[in-house]
Formats: sequence, C-alpha cells, structure tokens
Amino acid sequence: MDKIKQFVTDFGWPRIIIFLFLLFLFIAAPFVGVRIDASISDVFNRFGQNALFVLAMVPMIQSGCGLNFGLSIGIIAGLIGSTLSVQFGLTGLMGFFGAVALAIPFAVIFGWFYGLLLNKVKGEEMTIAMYVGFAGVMFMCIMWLILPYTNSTMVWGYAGKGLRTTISVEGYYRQVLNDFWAIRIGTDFIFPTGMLLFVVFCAFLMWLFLRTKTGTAMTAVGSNPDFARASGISADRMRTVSVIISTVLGAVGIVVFQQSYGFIQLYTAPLAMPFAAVAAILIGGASVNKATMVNVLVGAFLFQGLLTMTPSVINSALKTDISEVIRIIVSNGIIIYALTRKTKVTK
Amino acid sequence: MKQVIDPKVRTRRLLVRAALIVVFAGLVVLMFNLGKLHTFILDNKNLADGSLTAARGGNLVSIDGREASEIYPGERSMEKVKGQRHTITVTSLSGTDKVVRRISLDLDSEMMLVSLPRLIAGKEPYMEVFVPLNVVTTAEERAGTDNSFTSPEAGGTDPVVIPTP
Amino acid sequence: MSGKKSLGRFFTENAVVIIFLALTIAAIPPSGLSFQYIIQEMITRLGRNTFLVLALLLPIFAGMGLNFGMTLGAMSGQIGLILAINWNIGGVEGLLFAALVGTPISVLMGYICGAVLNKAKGREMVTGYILAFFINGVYQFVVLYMMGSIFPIKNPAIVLSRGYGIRNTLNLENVRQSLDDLLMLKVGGFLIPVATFLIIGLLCVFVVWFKKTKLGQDMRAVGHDMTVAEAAGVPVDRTRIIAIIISTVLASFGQIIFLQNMGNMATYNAHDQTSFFAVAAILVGGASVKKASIPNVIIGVILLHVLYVVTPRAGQNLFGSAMIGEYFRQFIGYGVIALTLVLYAWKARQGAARAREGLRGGNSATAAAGTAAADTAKGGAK
Repeated sequence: MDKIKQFVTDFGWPRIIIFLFLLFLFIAAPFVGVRIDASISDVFNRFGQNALFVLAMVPMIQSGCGLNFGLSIGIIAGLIGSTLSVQFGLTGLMGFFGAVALAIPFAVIFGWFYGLLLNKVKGEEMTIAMYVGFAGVMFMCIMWLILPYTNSTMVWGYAGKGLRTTISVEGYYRQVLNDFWAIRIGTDFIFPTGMLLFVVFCAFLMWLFLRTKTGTAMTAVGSNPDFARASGISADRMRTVSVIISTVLGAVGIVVFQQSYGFIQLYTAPLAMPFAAVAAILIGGASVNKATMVNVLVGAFLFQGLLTMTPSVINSALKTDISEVIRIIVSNGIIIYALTRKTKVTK
Repeated sequence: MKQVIDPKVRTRRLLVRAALIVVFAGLVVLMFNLGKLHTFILDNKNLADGSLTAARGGNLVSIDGREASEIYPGERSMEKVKGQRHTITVTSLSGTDKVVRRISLDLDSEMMLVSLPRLIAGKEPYMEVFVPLNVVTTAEERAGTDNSFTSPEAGGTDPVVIPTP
Repeated sequence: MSGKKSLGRFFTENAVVIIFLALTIAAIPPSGLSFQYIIQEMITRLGRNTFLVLALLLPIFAGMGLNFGMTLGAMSGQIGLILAINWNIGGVEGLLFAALVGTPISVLMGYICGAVLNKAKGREMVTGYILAFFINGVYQFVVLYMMGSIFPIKNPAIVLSRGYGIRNTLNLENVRQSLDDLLMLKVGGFLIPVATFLIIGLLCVFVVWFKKTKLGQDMRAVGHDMTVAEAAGVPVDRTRIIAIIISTVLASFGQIIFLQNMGNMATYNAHDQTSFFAVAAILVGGASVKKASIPNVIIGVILLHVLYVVTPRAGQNLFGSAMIGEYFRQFIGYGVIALTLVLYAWKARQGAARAREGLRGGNSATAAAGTAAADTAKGGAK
C-alpha cells in the first residue's frame, strides 16, 4: 500500500488522471464509432512527429536551464535547412538528410548565441526564452518575405518573391522516413517504422550522451551546482552545450515533422510549438529540473494520444468540438502543475 | 498562527462587508435599470378597423426631447431609448396639434410597437410588445478558434486603420 | 560624478526608451502619415490603452514582475460585457454594469492567480503567462459551451446558430465609445475623450495614494526583500495576493474601456494580446521588472503605439509590403520585452557579483561601484 502511495506521489495525480482518461478514451472509442486501428496508427504517427521536440527539452532541463520555451529558435534553424533543401532540389532520403545537414550548422550557431544569452540571465531563463523565441519567429517572418528564394514550389506565384505560408514537400522528402519499412495492416493501420526508428535512435544517442563525461558534467551543473563548481566544471560551458543540443534537436525535429506531415509551415507557425513540447515532457513525469528518456517517450505518447483521441472520441460522442477546450485546459494545467511544484530555484 | 480578533471588531467587519455587498448589489440593479435599452417602433398606420387614421401630412415625433423625426402616414420608425420612463411628444406636421404622453415601460419589454394614431387619440392601449417574426441570422460562424493551444495570434488583433490618402 | 559619466549612465539606464524613440522617429517619414493624423491617433490610443497598462504597476511594486496574469482580468471584463449585451444594457450604464459584473469574477481570478504565483515564487512571470492560457481554456469552456446551454442567454443575436455558445464577434454597438463620447472636447482640431482621461487620472491618483498607505508600504517591502518583510511581520503571501487581485480587477476595467473604444469584441481572441501590448508598452516606457512608474506607462503607450501606427505604412512604402511592417512591429514588441528582461537580469547579476566582490574586500572604488550597481539592480519601486 505504501508502495502505491509512494508511486502516486512520485508520479503525481494529474498524470495519473490523464493516463486514466486516455485509457478511457481508447476503451470508449469503438462504442462511439471511432476505428481503433486508425486511431492507434494516428497516435504512432503523431508520436513520431513530435517526439524529437520533447526530447529537445531534456538537455536544458538537465543542465538547470529549465523548460525550453524558446525551442522555436531550433525550429527556425530547421526551417532554414528544409527550405534550403527544397531550394537546392534535393529529393527523397537525400532531401531529408540534406535538410537536416543544412539545418544543423544554423542550429549550432543559433544555439550558441541563445546559450550565451541564457547564461547572462540565470534564474529568469524561461520567461526570457519564451520572448526570445517569439522575437526570433517574428524576425524570421520578415526574412521569409525578403530572402532570395527562387524555387517556384516555394515562392508566391504572383509576387515572384517571398515564401508561401505552407510549402508542400510532395516530391521532395514527403513521408520518406514514414514509408521506410512501413508496416501496413488492413486499410487503416500504418506503422511508421522508419520514423519511429529514427526517433528511438535519437533518444538512444541522447541516453548515451547523458552517460558520457560531458553528459554527467551537464547533469551535475543542473542538479548540484556547488559540487560541479568544486570539481572544476564550467557551468556556463555546460549550459551552452545543453542549449546547443536542444536547439539542434528542435531543428531536426521540425524536419521529421515536415516529412510526416507533408508541409513546411513558415511564418508564425512555430510560435506555439514549444508549448506543446513542454506540456508533453511534463505529462511524461519530468519536473522543471529533472527529465529522463522515459519521461520523453511516455510524455510524447500520452500527450499525442490525448491530442488524437480527445477530438475523435469526444466529438463523436458529444457532437461538439469541446475537445479543443479540454486540450487547452489539460496541457496548460499540467505546465502550471509542474511550475508550482516545490523545487529549488537555480541561481 | 491564529490571530485573536476582538469580537467587536469582528461584528463591525461583518457589518461593513454586508453593507458593501448590499451597495454592490444595489449598484448592479441600478445600472441594470438605468442602462436597460428599449426599442420603440413608432407606427403611423391607419388602424385595421378604420376607426382611427394617421394624421394627414404626417407627424413630428420626439422622444425625451431628442431631435424630432418626421413620420409620414403608413411609415414606421425605430428609436432606441435607455431607461423605463419616457416622454413622447407628437406634433402634427400640418396643424399645431401637440400631444405629450408619458410612458412607463416594464424592465423586460425589449421592443414596443407604438401606434401613433391611438396615442394621439389617447386610446388605450397604444403600445404593445413587438416580437420580431424572424430573428436575423447571419451566416454561421466557426465556433471556437483553431490552433488555440496558446494563441499568440501573430496576425495581430490590433486593427490598424490605414487611412486612404 | 562627472557630467560625462552621468550622461553615459542616463543612456544605459534608458537604453530601451532611446532605441525605441530613434526607431519610431525613423519610421515616421517613410510612413507618409501626417502629424495631425498621428497625434489624433495617439490621443485615441492613450485613452484606449493606458488604463490597462496602469494595471501592471502594483505587482511590479510587490516584486512579482510583469503580471502576465492580467489576461484573467481582461476575460472577466469580457464576461461582464457579454452579459451587458445579453440584457441589452447600453451607454455608460452598460459599461458600469459590465464593470460591476466583472469585479467579483476578477477578484476570484486574481485570488486564484495570486495563490498560484505564491506557489511559484521566482518564476511568477512564466507561470502567470501559462496560467493565462489555462484560464483561457476555462473561459472558452464557459462562453462557448455553458452560455446558452446552462446559463440562459436571452439575446438570440449573440448566440451561435447551433443554439449555445456566444458568437465569435460581438457588436458592442450599445456601449460603443459611450465613455469616450460622454465628454468629448474638440481642441485645435483634435478630439479628446475627456471622461476617459479623467478616469485614467483618477487611477493614477489612486496608485500614488495607495503607495503611501500601510498596504502599499508593505507591498514595497515585500518587493524589496521577501525574507526581510516576513521577519518584519508583513504577511508576505497575503500582500502578494492583494497586489494581484487589484491588478486583475483593474485589468478587467481596462479591458472594458479598451473594448468600448474598439466597438467590437472578438469573443475568443480579444484578450489574447492584452498582456503582450500592456507589457511591451510599460517596458518601452522605460520600466523594468522591478521598477515602474506612471510616466513609464504614459511614455510607453505613446511610443509603442506611434510605432504600431506607422510601421505598416512604412513597410508598405519602403519594401512594398505592409506585411513586413506588420511583422516588424510584432518583432519589435516581442524583442523589446526580451531585451528589457535580459538587460534587467543581466544588471541584477552583475550587481550581485560586484557586491560580492566588494564584501570580499576589494579596493574601495570597486566596492562603491558594486553597491551603486546593486542599488540600480534592486531598483526599489520609486
């Protein structure tokens, strides 16, 4: 009994409620005429689309920078990479990895500056990250309008300049990961093997990294700054490294998202993306200063499951579009829950 | 840490709070009464039974001393008013007849159809509740907002009116 | 201190204002707008926005940073307006009715917000921001699903045709500019909504008076140092909650004033950018996270809104695209908030570091510089 109690306090009531709610949705789905195989397929797909964003939260949480509300910086780098890839006419797997390769240098540079900035503002990282992200997105909005892209699939037809709001990657790298070794069962169930393998691979790399010397040093900076200082670890350097990794993962994440979703979304689309990732990792059981791979995978699965299942099940059951509201309340509720937990304030 | 409060202070506090709530409720009711809008539909048509006809040449109607509007026979005009007590002044455009009527409305009467011929003749009831036949329905709007996970709408909700030079 | 040095200090302390002023002035000529137009627009926007921005002051005094939770107040005010429209209450009385209805709701919201922020000391701002999203969900639930189904709505014109939920856009015709028109003066070709400005003036007087009360003093003590205040017997948590409650109630009034001037209300979006505009304005006016004054508010509203008026036209004329101006002003808004927060956090850290060095017994000059910097950093609401 004590064990259960301990588990409940560790895991937190909100998460258990969300888990039970999701379970309920899956059970209820067939009764309201929602195809369970299509739903599960959808959940897997969305899990793969978003898991890297959630994974991107880990390094900064570990190094004590808090939740990365400025993930949009990484997403912007990814958008630059993917638009360049399309501009150069790279197709297929080449297009995808080209986009990733082109995005990473930008991500590293952005991440480096972003990290330097966050080192100057310890204790206030989250609010500032949020606004730096917003400002970055708005700045890139201007850039998308004036950068000299020429590929006719991307540029507004009538003006001849300025990128479209959404760009189809059909014929470039649409679904290249999803279709890789994809398993089809029946008409509605598709298991996106390639994408999930890629995600697991990235998560595994992160897991490995956290066990390297740099990785443990990074965790030490976050969890025990005094000890870290005593053992001669440069806190600022470790924090910068964590921000860079987070930014790179954001960049790769958006390319993965695009290949599955089929479109590059520019302009203000990245504004809201960090919030979903933050909510997901917190639902997975992470706190503001501790996160594990389990948190990432469970969180991404629960959150995306919730996002997929609530609209289909609730809407067909109640004949309203109330799921949107449930989504807002649940995802922001969990962030508040995490922010109000008693944790030591990083200085 | 429990503070010991003097019972005298407590009763006084309670009284003050109760008084505040009463004042608050009073203000709400007062504003409701003062600000409640009613719509008069001033109808200058001959009565169906032909017993009364609209003044030939039409009337000048003024409500609560506002600028008068001309209403010709067979016409209707709409006026919005605030509050429940009103004065309607009707002057015939041709002659010098002038009728002043004081009207007191119910709080929940939204639209009142006022028959001018009856009002001039002083024949009760010159006022009846008007129920619009069909409520104007505009095209269906999309309920809720899309993409409202966070909704920092980048489009900007601040409408900048760009003047045409 | 030499004149040169104090000039330098003036520039660093007012960097944001000066950069912003330069940007704004640079953007005026290419916009091609006449001064006549800009000034009229400024008068209107001062009346429209100042009240909302003033609502931010008290939490800053109490050391809680920028109250992003003011959106909660805005939503309460909107509920008041929806009910005023529902019962067809018009004119200034309609606005007062909306404010009266909004008051208890915003007190409750403010209490919730304050209690939550007390549990998240040290990260009030981000928590307030997310809390606004959360309550936005609750607001949508109430307005979009409960109104017309559980709460009866009398006026069919504001209900969605599916039978419940309020329409996306509400016409505030009955209360439109009723406060502004109450006492509209025409001075030298400019229309001045005197009544609105009187109310704003009253609020300013209230703020000045409030700072001198016992509660106001407590608030400043809490803002200065929570532990010291606690030790001195100031009920810290309670004071913080009161600061947020007052701010939330003021925000609800402010939103009503804002919307009566706009004349329309986007039921589900009108509050989205409330805190963004208010926070950007107060920061542009030279306030920081811990220090703000009434002049900051007024200067900020003017500067931010001049920029907002001129940039789309400037973008159109310079780059042939109004969208560039549109994005630019958004970028500037977010950028200013980020920049001010960064400058503040940076200064605070520098001050702390120098003060530490000073304590370690560095030479007297650095010690003096350190305390001076620490003073600037602490800033104390003046």
